[in-house]
Amino acid sequence: MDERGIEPAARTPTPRPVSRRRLLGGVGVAASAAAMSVIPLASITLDEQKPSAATAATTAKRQWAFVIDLRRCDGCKKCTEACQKEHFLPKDHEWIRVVEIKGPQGSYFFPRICQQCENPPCLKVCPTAATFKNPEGVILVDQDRCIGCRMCMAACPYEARYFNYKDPIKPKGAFDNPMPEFPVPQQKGTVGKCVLCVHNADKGKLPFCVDACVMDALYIADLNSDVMTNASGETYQLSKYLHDNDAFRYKEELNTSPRVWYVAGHAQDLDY
Amino acid sequence: MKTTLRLLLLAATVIGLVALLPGSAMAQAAPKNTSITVAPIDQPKGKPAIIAATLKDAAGSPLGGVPLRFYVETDAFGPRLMKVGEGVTDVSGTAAVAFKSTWLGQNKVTVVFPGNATLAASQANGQFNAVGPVAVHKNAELAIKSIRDWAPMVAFGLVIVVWATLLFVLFRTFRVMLGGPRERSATEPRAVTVQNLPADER
Amino acid sequence: MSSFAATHASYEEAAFRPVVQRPGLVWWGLFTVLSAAIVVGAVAYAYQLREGLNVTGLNQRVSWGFYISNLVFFIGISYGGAITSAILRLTNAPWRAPLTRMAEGMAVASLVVGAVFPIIDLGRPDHMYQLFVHGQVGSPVLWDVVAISTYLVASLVFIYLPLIPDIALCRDRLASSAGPVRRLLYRGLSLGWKGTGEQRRVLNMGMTVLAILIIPLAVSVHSVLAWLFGVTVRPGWDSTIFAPYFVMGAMYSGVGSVILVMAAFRWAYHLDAYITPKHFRYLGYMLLVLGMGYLYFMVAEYLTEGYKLHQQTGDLLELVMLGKLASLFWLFVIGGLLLPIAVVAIPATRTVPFITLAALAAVLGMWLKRFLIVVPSLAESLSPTTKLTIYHPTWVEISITIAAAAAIPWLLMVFFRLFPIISVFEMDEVAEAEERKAEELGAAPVQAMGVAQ
Repeated sequence: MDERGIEPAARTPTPRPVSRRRLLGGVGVAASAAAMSVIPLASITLDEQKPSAATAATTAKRQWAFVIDLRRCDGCKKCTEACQKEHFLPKDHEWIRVVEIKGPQGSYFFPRICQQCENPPCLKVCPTAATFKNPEGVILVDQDRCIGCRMCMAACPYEARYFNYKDPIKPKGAFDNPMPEFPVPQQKGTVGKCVLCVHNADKGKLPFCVDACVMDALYIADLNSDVMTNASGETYQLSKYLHDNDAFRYKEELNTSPRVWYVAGHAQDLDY
Repeated sequence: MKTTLRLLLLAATVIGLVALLPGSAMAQAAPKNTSITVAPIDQPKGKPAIIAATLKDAAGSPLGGVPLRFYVETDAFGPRLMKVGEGVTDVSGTAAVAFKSTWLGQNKVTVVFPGNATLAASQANGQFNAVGPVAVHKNAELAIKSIRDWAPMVAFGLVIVVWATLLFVLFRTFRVMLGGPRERSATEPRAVTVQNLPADER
Repeated sequence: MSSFAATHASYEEAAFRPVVQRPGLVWWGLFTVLSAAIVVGAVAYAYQLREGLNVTGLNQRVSWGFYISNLVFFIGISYGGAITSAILRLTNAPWRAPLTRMAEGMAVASLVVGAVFPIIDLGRPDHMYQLFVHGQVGSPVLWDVVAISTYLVASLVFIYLPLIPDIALCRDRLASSAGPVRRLLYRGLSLGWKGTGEQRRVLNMGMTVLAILIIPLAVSVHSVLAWLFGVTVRPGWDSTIFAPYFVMGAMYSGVGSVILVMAAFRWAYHLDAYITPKHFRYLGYMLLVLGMGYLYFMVAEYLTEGYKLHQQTGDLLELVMLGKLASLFWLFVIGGLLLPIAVVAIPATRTVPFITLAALAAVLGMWLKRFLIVVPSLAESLSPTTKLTIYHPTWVEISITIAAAAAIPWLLMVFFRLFPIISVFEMDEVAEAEERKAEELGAAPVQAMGVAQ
């Protein structure tokens, strides 16, 4: 499918419940039979194959991406604070982590989030498909399914995954239905990670970190409509912006195809 | 909400700043009013659309050498103005940017002149029709995909063979041990030494 | 009474010594100590179940520690059984017969212990059923589940088949002395073995099939374990040599463990007549060869990585060879690898006590090496965004590890209270073959001479 005949009318936001229960529906049928089976083989399924990459790209309205302008980041860590506050995360869960990197030409700040890889090493090694890619290209964790083996943490080249060793912080109020798109509260004994906070995108809400960035260094982007935008409304055509600013991807050589682009400023050692 | 508002009024803010600041440029010498005309050029198939705009003063004479900002409206994150470029007007007062649309159909264009000390800010809208093809984002594909698809099946096929062998050995053993033909009477000593066996079975 | 019957009677007596003898003070003392260690470990695990993995020293960077090291180590030492028993059976080495039972027993015991560790390591053991509902063929974790469970079942069948005639022997010999539960156990497990020709044929066929099957299975299990690490991009793990490297290390520590088990039971039950210095020497040679093999792989690994010295690999090697973990690393290289090799290589030290000490050093050394494979690669930062993170195991992890180490001798002590410690069936087989050979030899020279004349 090279042509995407989406009419302007079709582009108006419609709430799209991303239900993977539906995607995995057929698998549940085999479950009872598999549980009884002595040989684990009988239950081997190919969940990973079901939301195939090709269909995901053409049926999902949006394909989320992220742009970080290193020229602007001053290391204030407001993004980390906002993320931890909104997701009720402990201090050692830095889904967005800002570090000062001392390079040969001086130091700079580097916000590291989940790179939302198109070839995610974490997803490939997950034994239960608890880690999955939603149709919009966001890598999520179904904590009801996560067995806590931490293979994904070993596999992630970006060290962007966090294990809930302690009892998670319980929010006051009506959050009693955590879902992969908004896993609040976290589940003890499972792995959590950045969810890109696009569950409210249709209401015009930006991810918490993007909204909190006073330096306007963080952009949320959509690869389908080719648009990126930040907290103060600066909006650019994604492809043009990346090209014009020589954007690079973190550890490009690993062939993980991240959906996060960085724009280098001063002092960066471009050899990631 | 705050941010959306800011977006919508991006151009208006610029105008407003100039217009509302008492004792600024406006008070000293009233800037000349300006107007923009956007040329609605439809995008040719497979090529970028050229969005051209002409800036003129109140008297209708073109204003050259001033910058114009070009925006296209997007609703990917609620309605926002996406900056597609800047151009400096030539002697005919015209500036243009090339824009390759990622949507089919009508694109709304906003061109803004931010104003300067002598010229008042202005803005105008236009639209153009975009036709295909449009590149859709494709996920990166890994190499040797076909091999990656069937290789696990071969491995697990081997595992099934192993289990089948194990079960076969167990089945045969159990069948012969438990249900095999009784060759000896129960009174015979059952201690298993070779001496107890007939010579042909040693 | 032929000479065969006499020797048969003597090794049958030896094989039944642990079963018939009343356990002495040493047995009970050791049994109590080991049981206590296991109970402490069980309590620690119960505490971990209640509190979660927070009670371990694991953290956001070092997310695998003692438990995964133990998984690799204990499944590794279970190789000794597969190697000594299956390979020697297939190559028809007659000296194997007195030690196959011990080797296989050790294999199953350490395998059972090792297979528990992935479960201990899980953050959510209550979600484990998801592996069977939504198992992903692409995940090395699932490969592990399949490979370990297959290997475990195969090992059980492998030890069970030659046990059948011996259990029948128990059934018949202990008919009057054993209690009703044991009698029932023997009767059930011996499956009505009467030693008929057909039964022996089926049994021999099954044992040969299993001996052939168990070797690739053992290799596959440790390869898959290695790929748990090898499929990642971490420095130190990102290596193509990992599967054979792990297999070699497993065989090395496995043969060491067989020597230890052999020495312990030889001493405890005075089996000197059957487990001779020759057995120690032969297994010592295997230890030597495998140790050299491991050394070779290690050099190959560190040479290529240390030559290119990518930034992160450099940091890792610095940490392991010169940094905080250097003492452990050099302790392994000198104590756990060079020392055992030297002990076996020098004729003067090629004695039972020295070879046993060498085996102990090899086994403990391999545990250190497993730890040095698992932890530093996680502790070392993978990117400029994280720093070196140190992992301090807690009492929970340490007591579970000690309990696991105690569980293997515990299981063996109990197992050999129930079943003969020497495979009488295989001793018979070898003795018969020897007798036949002797008969042929006795007849053949005459013929040969006749031809020559």
